[in-house]
Amino acid sequence: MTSAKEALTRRTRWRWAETVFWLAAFGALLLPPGKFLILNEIAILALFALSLDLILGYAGIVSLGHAAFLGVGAYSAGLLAKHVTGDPLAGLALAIGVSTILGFCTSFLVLRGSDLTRLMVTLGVALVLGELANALPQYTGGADGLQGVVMAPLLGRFDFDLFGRTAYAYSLTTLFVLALLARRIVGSPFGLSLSAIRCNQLRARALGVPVGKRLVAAYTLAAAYAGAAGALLAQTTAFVSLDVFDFHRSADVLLVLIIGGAGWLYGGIAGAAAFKLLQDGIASLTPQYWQFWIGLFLVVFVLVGRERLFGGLRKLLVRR
Amino acid sequence: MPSATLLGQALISGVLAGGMYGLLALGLSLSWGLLRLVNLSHFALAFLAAYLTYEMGTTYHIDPWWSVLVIVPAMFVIGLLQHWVFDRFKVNELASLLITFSFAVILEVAIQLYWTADYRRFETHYSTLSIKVGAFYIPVLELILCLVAGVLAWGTWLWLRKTYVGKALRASAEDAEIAAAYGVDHKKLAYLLSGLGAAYAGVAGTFIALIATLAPAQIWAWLGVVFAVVIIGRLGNPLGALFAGMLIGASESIAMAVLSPAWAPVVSFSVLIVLLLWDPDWS
Repeated sequence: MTSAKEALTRRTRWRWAETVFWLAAFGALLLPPGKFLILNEIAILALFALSLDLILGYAGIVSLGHAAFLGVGAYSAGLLAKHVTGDPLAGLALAIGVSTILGFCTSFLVLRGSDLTRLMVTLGVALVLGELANALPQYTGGADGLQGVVMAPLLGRFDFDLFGRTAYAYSLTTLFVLALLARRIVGSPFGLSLSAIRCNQLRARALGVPVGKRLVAAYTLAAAYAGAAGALLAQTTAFVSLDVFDFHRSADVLLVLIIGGAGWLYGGIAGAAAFKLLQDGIASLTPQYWQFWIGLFLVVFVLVGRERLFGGLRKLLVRR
Repeated sequence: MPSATLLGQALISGVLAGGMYGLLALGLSLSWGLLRLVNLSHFALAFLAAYLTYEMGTTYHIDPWWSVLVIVPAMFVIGLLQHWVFDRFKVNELASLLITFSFAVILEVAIQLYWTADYRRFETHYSTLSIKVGAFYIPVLELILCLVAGVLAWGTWLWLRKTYVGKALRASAEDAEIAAAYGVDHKKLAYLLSGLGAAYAGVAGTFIALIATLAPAQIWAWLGVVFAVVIIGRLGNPLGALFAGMLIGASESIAMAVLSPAWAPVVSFSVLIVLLLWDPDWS
């Protein structure tokens, strides 16, 4: 008995590499200004990828339209800041609330049918929301984007500065708290049942796992996380444009997760850092055609396999 | 409520514009349904063909009806090369999605590199030609496009139903191992089908050059609608793809006339979502 319990809890124990990683991430706050903008972008993309990992890596749902929740979160936080209050945490809470509701409602649509139709429905939900935002310019600003988002100081004390130090601290803290929560969730019986569903839905059902309900819960949770990422995006850039619903966003986050590896939570974070740094590095070398090199890199990467490149890092961070 | 003439005209233009959706969906539907490869670069290949048509037409003054004879075989070869990559690295469904997305990005940049990001329009003396039937105008180019799409879809449908090669392809899509046991060489057939899919993208590209305004970013413009069309028409069914394309084209056009142009893009996915609610195992 103890050995089975041990085997399950061992995976959730902290490893020194994890501690080092988070210390380094928070330690980066002490750096001189100059890199906070990209660090902030990495933290937000990491949170977005983490949210996709919850459904792809743990529940096995491939989504081509995860940007739907990012966009809804961004617009709710942006609209709240513009019309009601500039308090960041209120915006974060609202964004999480709205995207949770949307995630719950759309989950029934997404979970019907096979994997193939799932791809299409997720893609469809994101496209329809993008078109709605485009068709209602009186609320969203349409193609010009949502302007006039003014943020109040964080916790009433820390102003969002020009270098983005506050923004990075805010995004990183949110990422940290939500990653801790996700860590608890995936190690819990609930998280284990999700992994069981991904591995073999039929057997999981036979063991008495309520497959449908669990998938709805996982999808809703992932939507909430993506909504939080959207709120961070809107608040730290003080702007929301239609491209939050763009297909590129959904495809990029899928690639980020594939780069980092799905199913171990840190995959999204590692992938986000690799993707953004690569993008930044290539863009500074060839400002015009960086997309070409990213595309080429990704083709080679997916073909040759990421295990060879990132397998070692994974071993360091996760007990198997 | 708009007049009957406007509605009738909207219906005609919608069905004809839907021919383009059907033509683009045709190649996608074949590779997705029969090879289980989701080819996002299909649109990029179509635009590459469109730009080549444009280039031949404007720089070398070759009529599109002649350049298509070069472009379609060239696209066929590109399809073979692409499939060689899939075959060589044993690409599955999810990986094919990611790889072809990257292919599409690379092609988009390559197009931008050569033809710049400016909008290009291929002007011909027949580009605005139309026939008047009663109170309605029928654009000639779109009509030809629909006829070509119809012939291709019907031909492909017959090919898949009636010939041994087509039957073998459908058999290995259903159960590759059993089909192989009966002597079906799936590998060879997969190459043929990939080439064919890309060749259809070439045909679509020629018409895109004639009908639409070209810009590299336009590659992504049709992605959502055409994917919806592929599913609505059922995967691997050429005639289904064409009819679904025309259905979506017509509904978009009617929505534009009755509601407002802003709502047209929502139509295709609303149809799809209603369909999936009605029958989750559709496709």
